[in-house]
Amino acid sequence: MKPYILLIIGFIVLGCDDLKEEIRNRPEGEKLVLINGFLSPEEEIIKVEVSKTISVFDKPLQLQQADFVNTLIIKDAVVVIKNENQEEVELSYSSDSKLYQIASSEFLIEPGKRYTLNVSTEGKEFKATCVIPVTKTESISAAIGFRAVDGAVVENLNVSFDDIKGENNFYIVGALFNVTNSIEENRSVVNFDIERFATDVNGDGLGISANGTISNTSESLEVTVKVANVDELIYTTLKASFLNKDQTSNPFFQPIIPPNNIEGEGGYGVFAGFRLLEKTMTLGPIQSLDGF
Amino acid sequence: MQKSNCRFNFLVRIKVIRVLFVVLFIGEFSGYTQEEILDQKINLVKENVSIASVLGELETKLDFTIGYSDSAIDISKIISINAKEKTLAKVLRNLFPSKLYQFKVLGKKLLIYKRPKKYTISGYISEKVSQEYLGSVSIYIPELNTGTTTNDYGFYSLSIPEGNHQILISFVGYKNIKKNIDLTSDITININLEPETEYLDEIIISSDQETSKSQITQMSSEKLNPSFFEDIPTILGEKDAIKTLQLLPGIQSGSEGSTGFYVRGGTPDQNLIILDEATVYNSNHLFGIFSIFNGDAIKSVEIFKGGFPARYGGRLSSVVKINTKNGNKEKFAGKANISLISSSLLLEGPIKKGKTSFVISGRRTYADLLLLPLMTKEEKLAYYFTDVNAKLHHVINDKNKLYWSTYYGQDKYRNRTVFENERSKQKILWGNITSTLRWNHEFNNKLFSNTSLIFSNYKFTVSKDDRGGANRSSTFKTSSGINDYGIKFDFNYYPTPNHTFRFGIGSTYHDFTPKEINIKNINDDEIVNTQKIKTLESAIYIEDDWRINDKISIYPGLRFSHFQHKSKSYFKPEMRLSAAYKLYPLLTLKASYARMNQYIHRLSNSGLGLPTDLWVSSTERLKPQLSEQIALGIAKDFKNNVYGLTIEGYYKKMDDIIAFKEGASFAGLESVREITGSIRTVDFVNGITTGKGWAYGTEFLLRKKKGKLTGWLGYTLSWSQRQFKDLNGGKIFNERYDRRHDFSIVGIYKPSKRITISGNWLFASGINYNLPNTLGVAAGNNFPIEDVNNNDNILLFNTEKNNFKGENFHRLDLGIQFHKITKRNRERTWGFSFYNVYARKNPFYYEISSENQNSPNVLYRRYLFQFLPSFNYSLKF
Repeated sequence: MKPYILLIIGFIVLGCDDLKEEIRNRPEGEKLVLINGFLSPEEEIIKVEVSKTISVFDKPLQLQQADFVNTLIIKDAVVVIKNENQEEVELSYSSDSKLYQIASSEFLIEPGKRYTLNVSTEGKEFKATCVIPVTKTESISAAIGFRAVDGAVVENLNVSFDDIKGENNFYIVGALFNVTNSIEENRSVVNFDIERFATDVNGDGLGISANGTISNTSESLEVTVKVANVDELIYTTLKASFLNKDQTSNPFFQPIIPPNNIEGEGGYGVFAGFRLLEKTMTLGPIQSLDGF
Repeated sequence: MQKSNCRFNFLVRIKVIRVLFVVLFIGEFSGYTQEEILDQKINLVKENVSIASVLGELETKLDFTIGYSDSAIDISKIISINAKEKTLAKVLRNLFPSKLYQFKVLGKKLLIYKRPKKYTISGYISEKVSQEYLGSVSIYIPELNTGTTTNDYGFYSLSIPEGNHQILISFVGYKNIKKNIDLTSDITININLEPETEYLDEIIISSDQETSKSQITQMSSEKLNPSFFEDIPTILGEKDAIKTLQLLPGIQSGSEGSTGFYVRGGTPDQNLIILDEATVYNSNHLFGIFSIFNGDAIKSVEIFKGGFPARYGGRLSSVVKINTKNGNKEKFAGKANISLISSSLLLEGPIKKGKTSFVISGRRTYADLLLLPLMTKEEKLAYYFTDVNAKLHHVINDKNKLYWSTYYGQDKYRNRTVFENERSKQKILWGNITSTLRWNHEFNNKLFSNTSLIFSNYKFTVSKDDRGGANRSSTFKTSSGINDYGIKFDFNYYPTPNHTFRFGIGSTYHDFTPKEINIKNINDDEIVNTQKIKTLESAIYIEDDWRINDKISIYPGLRFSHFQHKSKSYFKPEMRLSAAYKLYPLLTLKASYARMNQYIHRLSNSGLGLPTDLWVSSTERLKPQLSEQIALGIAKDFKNNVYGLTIEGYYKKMDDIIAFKEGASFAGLESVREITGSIRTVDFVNGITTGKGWAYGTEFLLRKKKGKLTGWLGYTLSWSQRQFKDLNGGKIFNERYDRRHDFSIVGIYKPSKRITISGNWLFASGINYNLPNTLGVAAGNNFPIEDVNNNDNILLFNTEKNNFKGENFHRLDLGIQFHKITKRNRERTWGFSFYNVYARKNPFYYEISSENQNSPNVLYRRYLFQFLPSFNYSLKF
């Protein structure tokens, strides 16, 4: 009796993984012009990305990521940004960054001001407006230590900052680091995983913190911490990029529909503002734990 | 057009005035005549004469005929009278001092008649062997065409005229009782009903008048006794009341195998689930595959989908009322059940015979124990759930009774890993505790009260304990939950057979902990963060089940609800009305209106009823949800109440309903880290959006209630839509579980005492899925924080919410039970059930993936349960 029961339970518990069947009647994806432009007074370059979309079932998907971007990017669009005084500037396409861009010294992005984006491509006109946030995070502190992750102990960078009072805020946290006085050109990225997306969920004006995985904490590190308080549209669209692709086999996950404030038929994307605070500090070294 | 409308209105107005005039004029005229005669002054002095002679003299004097019934008036009675300048009314009252005598003038005729005196029959109806009180039992007087039903505590009260009457007591599943009474005073009649032989040899014909749908005002409700869900085949043989409810029209299941249910386009959190008066917050075990209600302990299950009585409130879409057994007051009894994945045991009996009884039942799954040999020393994984129901019932005296009932249920998942010096222990626990103390008090034979003290708790906890070499350790514990402390007073008042009043007041203190985190890191840093929301929810209500005449009855109700959070308070009146009009004796037209408010909400991303879903409260910023529902239908009983047919149409509008904004909740369950991440990042302040909802449809239910073959055929045609400012670009979208067609056929066949054969087939249109079907360049390229795209420049997304209609769902389940009465008079049952007999691969969810990197993406249907046989064995002793 026992092996029989074990077999059935095993089938139920473990057998679910391969229970799948191909479906022919599938919802084809839309052909859209995807426009994303995020403006900030702290940015040296104003950048707008204009690209096409394809159906997830389309054939040429087995491209490398760089090719994928190359295939979809639109290089011949006319991208114009206008300020409240109706002064406008045309952004030109850069084949290096694959973005439409212009130095912010040529067109000032100011806190609290409204900007309009006009894009002409593929015979269509698209338009969007945004207002740049007035305030930004004032102070950031960071500390390195250890934390437990899935049964393992990892080196940890804890970034904390105070929420901007009086409004609902959405933050994106990041950090780069290298060993102090290192000759390496490329700096490493701290992995904040899902914690890079933070809100003032704990209460207006209260402290917010995020933990990221770092390395080489037994040495002195030069860490550049970045905290952007972003328009909710930017927050959600970046969260969609971050989560959607990894979760296709998670039955409990509801894919995030990225927001859209692009006007014009067949246009999709976000044109919004953010503020950025960057702070570089030297942290560590800290004493390593046994087993490290 | 406008002109003709004006003319029409004018004509209508004239007609109304004319009718009013005639009514008033005739009323005045007849009143004048009656007053004039009865006020006429007369002189009459007589000694020791019969009443007949006095009446004769009055006839002569007044030139009137006096009519009376010899049986009502003793005209031979000798009296003396001395009336000088007294009105006729006073003279008559002198002759007939009892106020039961009435006088009425009709033209040239004076009628004297005796109004019959009314007395009240009251008492309790209980089951013969166990003394279990029975609710909804019909007490019917055929001669008067009047009756009542027992309340949930088995109490009834019926005031009828004095005299000889035949009372018919009937309840489905029990033998009818006919009782003749000579009613000369208020009496108490307690009746024991004997269960019918379970295996019917022939169709029982009864006059089960009140319990048939055409005879009651209430619409959109169904009541199930345990025999229903004990016989219907279910997944893995676990008898489940909620899964049986899902087979009724208007009540839809969520995903395959889930006990989450969606009533008339609502969401699972809009269902008020009451277990012995206590609200149950999470009714699921094992992520919704089983409900928490152990079938052995349940006495009855009742669901309201609309036309809600005013005594219920606090949820928008349904009320599910589950009453547990009181326990056998006469003898010890029990039931043991063994199934493929769980075992249960129920024990009941008297503590003091006839006075105090107990019942205790427990259930535990043992997949963890069976899988134990497969576990390694390095990794041990276990999951089980357990639940316990316990109840004490004490009869203090005829007028006072006490009930204490409690439920404890817990799901536990444990994972222990040991690698050299590193040890890790993860636990996920979730469950409910409810406890209710109730006191029934009978103030008199017309007024019954129930006072309840209620406690309800739901808690979800994730903990992780890591220990390594050199005493390194870290702990992480996060939880969310709710504690309710409530008091409630409910009264039933039965002034006449045509009115049943219910009124009451109640208050519940909600203590929410949406999020509690306690982290102790390796370097002994301790982070404690607890969020608390404390609120008070109160309500006062009154309702009347009013039979206006033989054709028309109405059920009006009014509920005032109040909710307090800090300084913000909401005060909401809620109107309820049901009405029924009998077109024919067994065909009734019904209509209802109900307005409901919901102050506490469950935030769910998946809609699956996962333990990670959070219960949150209305606050200053978050308004209560509101719904208004109208329903119109017919109820028809035929073939001596063997068959019942109901057809209902409904329209429900919901306002201020809440949902997560896009991406505000990330429900990951693949690891403890994902679960804790879900709780840490969920934003129930900024992440919530409010909106509107609409649901409408038609439901058809044909039930066969008696005979060897019982069951039903149900069909629902429905639509359910939502609109939120921050979802789907503010456009209206179809709700995830918007199923156009839902059909079920359920049959239970008992050909002999030894066999029960059952089966159900259901068909449901596909539900809506969010399927990311578009690829674009991820926006993070354009953002100054590195790696924000998660090392991937591809954005996978969809632009319309619920953009993919899944495939239709259908399934056939069969079951067979073999019963045997042993020599020791114990009933032994072997049951076999077969879930999804023809192995339909019903969709659980859809996945887009490719075989390998070079092949194109393909859409896959993921399915769960194909043909699943199971067995169970039970022994009643």
